[in-house]
Amino acid sequence: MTLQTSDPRLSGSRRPSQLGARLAKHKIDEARKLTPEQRLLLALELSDAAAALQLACSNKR
Amino acid sequence: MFQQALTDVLSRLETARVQGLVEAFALIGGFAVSAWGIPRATQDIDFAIAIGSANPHALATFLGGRFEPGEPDDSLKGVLHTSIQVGSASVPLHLILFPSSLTEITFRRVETLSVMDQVVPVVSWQVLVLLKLYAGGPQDTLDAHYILQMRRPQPDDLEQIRKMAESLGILKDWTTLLSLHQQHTSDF
Repeated sequence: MTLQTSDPRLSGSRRPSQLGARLAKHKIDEARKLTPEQRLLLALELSDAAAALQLACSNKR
Repeated sequence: MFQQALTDVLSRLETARVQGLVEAFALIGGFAVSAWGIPRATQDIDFAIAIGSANPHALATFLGGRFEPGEPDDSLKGVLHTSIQVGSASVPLHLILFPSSLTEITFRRVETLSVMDQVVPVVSWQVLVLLKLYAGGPQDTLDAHYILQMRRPQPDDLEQIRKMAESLGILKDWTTLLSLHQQHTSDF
């Protein structure tokens, strides 16, 4: 089990971004402010938005 | 769309339970990860089901889907595939049948969330971490990692998960994830 990127160009000598790590922590901190019920509702809304985006993009081909 | 689909699924599963086609059900997958971790979009709705001695094909017929049994060496006993129609859209629904040991652990502690005037049974976050390790894919591993970061597990939680992981034969996966989590936590 690994959590490393599968893209060899993005592994090895490159140092993980501190900004990226702070952004991830910010997302977790923001999510912690919500209740499980609020997070589930948000996920339902996000999934609607993702489905709408997918449909819009598929119509472009 | 997904809110309506979840409402419909809960209603149908409750009817199936009353008819003896399913004993228990609990939300797993991306929506359960969102409830216990960081909210994210997903494309389908997944539930774990316990059916006891009921016939999974009868449940599939009731839900207008099909039951796909796992091979003898598969880590899942079977998956019931169906979909929920919401207007012109169709939301895939997967009902997962685990082996008996995992089913017992999954339904030992189910939490309930009240959303949209519905009571949604959801697997506990501790069990969800184990289910993700059991699944073993890249997204599953990330999900488990984020859930741990979100929950900030106490020693009692860790011991509880360790015991369950040991009984499921995934202790090594749990140890690896925990080590990564502790390393990540110490970085901040």
